[in-house]
Amino acid sequence: MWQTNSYGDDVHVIDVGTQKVVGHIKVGPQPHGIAAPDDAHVVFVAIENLKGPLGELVWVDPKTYKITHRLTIGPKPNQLACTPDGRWVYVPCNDGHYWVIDTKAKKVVKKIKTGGRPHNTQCSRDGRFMYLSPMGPPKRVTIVDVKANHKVVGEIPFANSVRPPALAADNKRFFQHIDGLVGFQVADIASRKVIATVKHTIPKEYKGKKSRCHGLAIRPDQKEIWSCNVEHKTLHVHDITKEEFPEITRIPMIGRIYWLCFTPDSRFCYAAVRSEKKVCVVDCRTKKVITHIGVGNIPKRNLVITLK
Amino acid sequence: MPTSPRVLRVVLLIFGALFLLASCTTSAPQHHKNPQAAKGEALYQVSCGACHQSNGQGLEGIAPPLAGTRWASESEERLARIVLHGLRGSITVADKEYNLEMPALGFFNDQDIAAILTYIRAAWGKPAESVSEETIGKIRTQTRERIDSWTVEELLSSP
Repeated sequence: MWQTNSYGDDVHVIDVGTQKVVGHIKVGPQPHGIAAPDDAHVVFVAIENLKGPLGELVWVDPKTYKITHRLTIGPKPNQLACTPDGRWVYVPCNDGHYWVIDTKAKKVVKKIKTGGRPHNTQCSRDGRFMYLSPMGPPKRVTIVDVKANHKVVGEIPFANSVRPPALAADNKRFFQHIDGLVGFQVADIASRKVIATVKHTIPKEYKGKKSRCHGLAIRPDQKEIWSCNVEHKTLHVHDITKEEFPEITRIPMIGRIYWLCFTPDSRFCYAAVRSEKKVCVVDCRTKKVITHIGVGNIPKRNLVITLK
Repeated sequence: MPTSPRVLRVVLLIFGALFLLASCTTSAPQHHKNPQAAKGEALYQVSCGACHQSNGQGLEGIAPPLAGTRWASESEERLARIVLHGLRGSITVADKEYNLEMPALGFFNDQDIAAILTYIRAAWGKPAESVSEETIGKIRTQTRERIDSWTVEELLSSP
């Protein structure tokens, strides 16, 4: 499991077998987004570089932990996505555009304007579509056909500024955190329409305290969606096999959580506890916290990769 | 048809007047007389302007405005706390509620933060006062144990 430390300059690597830190890689100032192709021959890290005018996309070899390439890109890049074959990387930059990078040619081939502050990205399992979720006024997700020369083919409007998303493996449902909702909205991708607004149950001790959600992920077995409720320090688990998306349980966290990911066998969840500089490991079956692992400065985005 | 000198003079006068008007309304910033604010402006545009916008008006769903708000004109120490450690949670600015997270920018040195805050205050807060490097250093020392960002409640209960 690779954990970026968003106020540091490094990534921690954790072995999901032992839950121990096995690697520490210096990548550049304020590493933010992280993505990898299915075969994990490379890991892409977006360097936000908050102090400078431009960011970077960094290629890391996951076997040697060496940086094999760096590409200067737009300002303040955030959560990127790559196609399952690793050929195309979409990076949201703070210039109102998603930068499209051809990783074979190692160059920027297109910039797709969404407006707002491009922030989060999802790729469909078949690598055909990219879903762009920019923060701010657009209040919509832009859908791009990767294979049609990165052409915009649709939009899904949401009720408010869009934040972290999650995409079902069958490409039918799109789940989206939005501002002003402690919960998420669900869209039907075919009709491009929101079909449900799902609210989390606020833990008793936090009633009356305002919060927001940041970090949404579908368990790889496609049975549950897990959502980070930041200020209420709670992970909410919902059943996505039922159309009402009922909440199954809530898992209290030790601090403010900001992102999460799963092992491919759906056994463990890793939640980045940004306020504690730790990653919380949860057993997905029992929904119990197993351990906490110390990482770097303000951990946010994370990702499990499987080395072939 | 040849243009008469009288018509030419009128046209030039109109253009001249329009130019003068444009010069006044685009507000050549007075703070540029202060080199610290000029440096701060350059840093602001790179590291703050993308969210708070170059005109300080903020953007819905991204960051609240600074221009014309109490945050720009009141305590410089409060501003220093925000820049050093970030800000999170619900905040109401100009009658609009925001619930976002501003990153900590403590990796800037004291001189740079002083310059950024001098610019913000000169442009949208207290034009007469510069923020000193020493003030930033003092707040950095006072808050060095802090690992998380501030909430509005914490900030308003501090000087």
